[in-house]
Amino acid sequence: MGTEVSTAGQDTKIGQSMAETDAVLEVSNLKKYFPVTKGIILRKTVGQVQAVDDVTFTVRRGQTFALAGESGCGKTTTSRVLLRLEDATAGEVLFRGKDILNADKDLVKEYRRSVQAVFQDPYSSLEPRMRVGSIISEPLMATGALPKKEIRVRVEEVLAQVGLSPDAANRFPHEFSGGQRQRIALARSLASSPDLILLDEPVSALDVSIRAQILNLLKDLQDQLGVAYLLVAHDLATVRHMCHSIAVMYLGRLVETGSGEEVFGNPLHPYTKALLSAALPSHPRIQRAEIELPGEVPSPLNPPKGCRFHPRCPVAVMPQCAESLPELENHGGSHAVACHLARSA
Amino acid sequence: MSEVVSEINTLRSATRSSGQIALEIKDLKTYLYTRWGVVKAVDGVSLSLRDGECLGLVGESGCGKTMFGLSLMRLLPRPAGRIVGGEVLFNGEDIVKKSEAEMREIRGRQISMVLQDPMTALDPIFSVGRQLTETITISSDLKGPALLERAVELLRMVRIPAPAERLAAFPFQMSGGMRQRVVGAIALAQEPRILIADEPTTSLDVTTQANYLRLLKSLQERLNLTLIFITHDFGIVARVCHRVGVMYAGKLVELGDVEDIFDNPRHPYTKCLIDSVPKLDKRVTRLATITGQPPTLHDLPPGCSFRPRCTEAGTHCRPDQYPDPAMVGDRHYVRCWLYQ
Ligand SMILES: Nc1ncnc2c1ncn2[C@@H]1O[C@H](COP(=O)(O)OP(=O)(O)OP(=O)(O)O)[C@@H](O)[C@H]1O
Ligand SMILES: Nc1ncnc2c1ncn2[C@@H]1O[C@H](COP(=O)(O)OP(=O)(O)OP(=O)(O)O)[C@@H](O)[C@H]1O
Ligand code: SF4
Ligand SMILES: [Mg+2]
Ligand SMILES: [Mg+2]
Repeated sequence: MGTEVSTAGQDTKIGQSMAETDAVLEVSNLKKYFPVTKGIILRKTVGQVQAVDDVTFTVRRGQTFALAGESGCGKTTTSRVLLRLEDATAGEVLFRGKDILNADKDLVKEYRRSVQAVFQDPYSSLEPRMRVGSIISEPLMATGALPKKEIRVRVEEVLAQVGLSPDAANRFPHEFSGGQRQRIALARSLASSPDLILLDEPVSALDVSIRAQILNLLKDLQDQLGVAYLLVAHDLATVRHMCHSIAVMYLGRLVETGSGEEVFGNPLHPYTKALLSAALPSHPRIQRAEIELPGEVPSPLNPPKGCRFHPRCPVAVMPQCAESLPELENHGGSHAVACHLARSA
Repeated sequence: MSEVVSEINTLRSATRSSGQIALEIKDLKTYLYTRWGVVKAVDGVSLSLRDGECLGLVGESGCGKTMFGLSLMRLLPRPAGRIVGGEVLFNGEDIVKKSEAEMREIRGRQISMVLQDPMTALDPIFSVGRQLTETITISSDLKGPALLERAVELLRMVRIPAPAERLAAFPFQMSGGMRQRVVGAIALAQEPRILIADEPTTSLDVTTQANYLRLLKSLQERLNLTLIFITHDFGIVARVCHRVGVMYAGKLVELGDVEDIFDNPRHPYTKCLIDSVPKLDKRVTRLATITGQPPTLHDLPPGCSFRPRCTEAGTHCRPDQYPDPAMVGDRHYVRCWLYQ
């Protein structure tokens, strides 16, 4: 079963073999640097925010790939680049084997249809002056594939899929609750029958009782339609519940990747271990030994030399930690870790 | 591992049963008079808290958690909010009957609150040091270097790195986690006996949240604070609280010791809430859900307000009367017709 995650390092090219599998999206060595400028008239670049640095992963058909990590680690930037809302600084993104960063118009159109997104905030992500029906059919209009009548049928179909009644199409977003609005956003993303939906914190703005409904709905839709998800979330329990594979990000880089079982069952990177130890218990009698991380996440502008985690790492004992950047290395199965200590162990 | 755990548990119960009663709330009713009608935000809540005890207050958005906290501070939104019934006994006196001048003596010094939104709790145009020293001078005569020293001490207490240098910083120059800790320092500046923390960690990262909770817990133990922790996260309750109160539509529908509530939730709503959260250590393919939405808090019919969403509702649920609290265990009560 294809839960395998590519562990290619900087100089490994992803070849034909990967493209032949059930991969929907293959991301290799993706970088997104934001220039930091000074001065108003003569803008001078004074530095680079390395928001996403050398990120490699594969999303497979019908599966959920999760990007987890703390605020500012580059999760949203990664998904924005994948949505082509930002230009990549370097790297390659293959969509069903085709290069999408240097694609022609037709391919971009096809990609826009096949890759949709749902964002965190169900209050601001829907255009308030548009009726729900128009909001949902917008991605369909853009591709211009369907006649009007069929579009209406399709809108009703996706409304039913997300558990809303057909008359919702005639109403405005403000007439719905937060959970219902997230369903509308989901219906919109489903309208063009995408292969992949990017979910950026899809439930974190919702009330507890409604989160469960949306998470169940997402799973059901995946089972029925075979759609793949790229899930961005910081709540580890939600990630664990949803994902087939996961990548843990720290300061723009992937520090650990693997299947859910591999990473949650046997975390190898010290950051992953700390993150898991800090997760809240599900019962008061479970009191985990917490691994306390000193300091705060440093800025991705001038990230630390060597392993980016080393200034806060509780076990950084080797001289390499402060000197050279560890690459993701395979630790059996699809499990890969970027840590000098894990390698020598 | 299990030894450590039992030690923690003994420690918990020791604090719980030995402390003096710090606060006793009897049948508190806080209503909001709005254009759409009377919102019964807190509708007959009773509970008592001991020194050094931490109570978690959970429930869906809009169930009245914040209004409950604001009632204890007598800081209800004006002119809509009013306490219309009940007592809040603190030091043998009823807070509900206090004048505004008397409340100013109590607020901050005796009972303090960390408001839900840390951005609004800090004034963006004043430095952290100024806001902190202003709060300290409300209840002390400290001046000059001694005042600054106290401010630095408070920042150090909430583990702000380089506290002396930070005094000059403005809120926007700090990370979310640091701002949250500054708000905590201000709330603790006058060494209150009771601290109400309203969702203080919702905007924080996992590791920052873990740090903050550990800090709050150790301060609480060291200062023997009584803590009311408002949250919708059962994980936080499991991590820091001794007791849990579950609120639904203005009423406390279940109250008990934290282990008891997790082992033996009785109210159908509590069961659903606990089962609807994904858990790292217990995997399920589907999560439990609560159908429908919480009711609006005006024009509520007299019976159990959870009934339209309840999977265990039946002929036992009388439509004409709200179920009274029924004891279902040691210091564990529930308001549901199943237990009458
Ligand atoms: N347009 C931009 N210009 C400069 N820096 C940016 C820009 N967008 C994002 N960044 C920076 O890139 C880094 C990664 O940001 P990103 O939004 O991807 O993080 P995230 O992992 O999604 O965090 P969160 O969990 O808070 O949403 C941050 O340091 C952010 O400040
Ligand atoms: N200023 C106000 N005027 C009128 N009604 C209000 C006001 N503030 C709150 N309410 C109402 O009072 C009820 C209780 O609100 P409260 O803020 O206590 O809920 P909460 O449990 O704290 O919710 P949340 O988890 O969203 O913070 C809600 O129904 C709300 O709509
Ligand atoms: S009283 Fe009835 S409706 Fe209300 S929670 Fe109990 S069983 Fe459910
Ligand atoms: Mg983000
Ligand atoms: Mg509130």
